[in-house]
Amino acid sequence: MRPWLVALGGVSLCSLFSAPAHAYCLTHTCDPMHDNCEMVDGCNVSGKVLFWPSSCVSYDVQKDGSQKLGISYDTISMVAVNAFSQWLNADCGGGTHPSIRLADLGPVACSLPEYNKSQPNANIITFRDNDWPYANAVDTLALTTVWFNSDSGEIFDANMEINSFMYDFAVGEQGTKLDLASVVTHEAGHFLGLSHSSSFTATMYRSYNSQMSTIEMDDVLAICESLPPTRVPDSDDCTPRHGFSGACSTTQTGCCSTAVGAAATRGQPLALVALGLGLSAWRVRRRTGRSKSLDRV
Amino acid sequence: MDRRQTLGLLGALAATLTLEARTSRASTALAVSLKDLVSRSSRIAHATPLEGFSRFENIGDRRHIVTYSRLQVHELLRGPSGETEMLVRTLGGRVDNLGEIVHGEAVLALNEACVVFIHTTSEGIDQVTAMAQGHYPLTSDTDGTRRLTMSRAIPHLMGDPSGAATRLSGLKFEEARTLIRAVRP
Repeated sequence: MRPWLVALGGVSLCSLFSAPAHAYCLTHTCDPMHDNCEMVDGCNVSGKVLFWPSSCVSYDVQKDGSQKLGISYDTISMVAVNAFSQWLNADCGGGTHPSIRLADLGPVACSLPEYNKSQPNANIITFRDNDWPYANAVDTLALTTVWFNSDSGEIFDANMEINSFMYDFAVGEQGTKLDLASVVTHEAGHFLGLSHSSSFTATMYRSYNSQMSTIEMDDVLAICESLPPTRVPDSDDCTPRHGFSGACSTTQTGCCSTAVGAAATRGQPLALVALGLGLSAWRVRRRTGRSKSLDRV
Repeated sequence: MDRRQTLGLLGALAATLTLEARTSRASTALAVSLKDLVSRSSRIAHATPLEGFSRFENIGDRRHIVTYSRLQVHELLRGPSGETEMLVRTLGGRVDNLGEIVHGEAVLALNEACVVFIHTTSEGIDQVTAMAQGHYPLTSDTDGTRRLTMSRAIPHLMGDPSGAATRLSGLKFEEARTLIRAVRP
C-alpha cells in the first residue's frame, strides 16, 4: 500500500474523534436540476469529480487591488500566495503533497469573471469595488465561479470575486473588519475543486470565522483526495484554456448562442423546450400582472 | 421541556460555544436572520421543482449560465394566494457539456420538495432570496414527518447560530410554517 494512503488512513482514524468522517465534499458534475444525483451525508456524489487536468494552474490578480479599501495589488497577491500555499503544502503523508502547483501570471487588467469558449482566458482574483451584480447575493462576501466540462469534470476556468462594494476587508488586523486571508483561503478551496464541509473546524465549513486562513485536517483530507499525489496529470502546462489574456474579451465567443432548452438532458426534452419558449410569455404575463397591481395601488 | 428539547438545547449551546471559541478574534454577523429573509422575500412557498432548463444570460456585465426551474406550488406560506406555479432563476447550470458552478447559490433539485424564499428582481425575475440561505429541502422521517434541511449548497456564512439557516433546519414543516408566518417584517 502506498505510504500516503497509509498516512491518510491514520489521519482519517484520528479525525473520527474530532470531526465526522468524510465531512468534506468534493465538487461533482451532476446537476440536481437535470439529473438524479445521489446525496451522501449532504454531498452530491454523482457524476465526475471536478479536477484541474494539468499539474499547474495559473491565477492572476487584478492589477488595481481594491482602491476603495486601500488594499494594493501587492497585498492581495501576497494574500493569494499564502492562501494557495496552505492548500499546496497540505501533508498527504510520507512527505507528499497535492499534485498541483500554482503559477501567478502577474497583474491583469480584466476585473470581470468570464470564461471564453474559444478565446484566451485568465483565472482572476478581483475585488468588486463599484458594484455587486448578483442581486440575490447581497450577503455574500466573495464568490468563486468554476467552469467545467460536465462530461469529464475537467475544470476549464475559475474566478474569485471579493465583495468590496459592500464589505470592509483587512489584512492582519484584529477588529471589526473581515479577515481577507480567511475568505481567500476558503475561496481558494473552491478554486481548486472543493465544496463545503460539515466539519465545524474545517476551513471549508460553511461558516466564516477569522481563523480560516490555515487549513485543518478535514481540508487536508479533501485536497489530498481531490488531487492525490499519485495522480498522473495530463500535462505540466500552466497556460489557461485557449491561452492567456489579461484583458477582458470584447465579445465572449461561443458561449452566447445556445438556444433556450438546449440544456435539456434526460427526461422531458420537449417539455423543456416548450418551457423555454414559454419563458417570454411568462415574463410578459407577470409584468402585466404587476403593472396592473401597481395601477390598482 | 421534554428530553428531545433538552438535548436540542444542549446541542445548540455546544455548537454556539464551539463557534464562539473559533470566532474570538473577529466576527461579524452576516448570516441572514429569519426576519431579514422574510422581509426580503415577496413570496415563501412550499413547492417542488418539476423541470428546468439552463441557458446563458447577462448577469452584471458578463455571460453566465443560469437555470430556470418550474416549481409547482403546494402552499404559499407568505405572499398572494392563488399562485400554483413559479419560474425561479438560479445562477449556474449546464449548457450542452459546459457547466458552471457558483458556490453558495441555491441548487434546486428535480422533484425534491422544499421551502423556498423568493425575491423578485426589478426585471421581474424570481430568484431565491439570499442564495442557498433561502432554500430548504424537505426530508421525511421514518414516520413520515417532514422536516426542513439546510441546503446542500449553503454558502460561507457568518454569525451562523442566529441565522435563518440554523433556526429553520431540522424543524418540522408545520413548525417552520408557524414560525415563518409569525415573523413581522
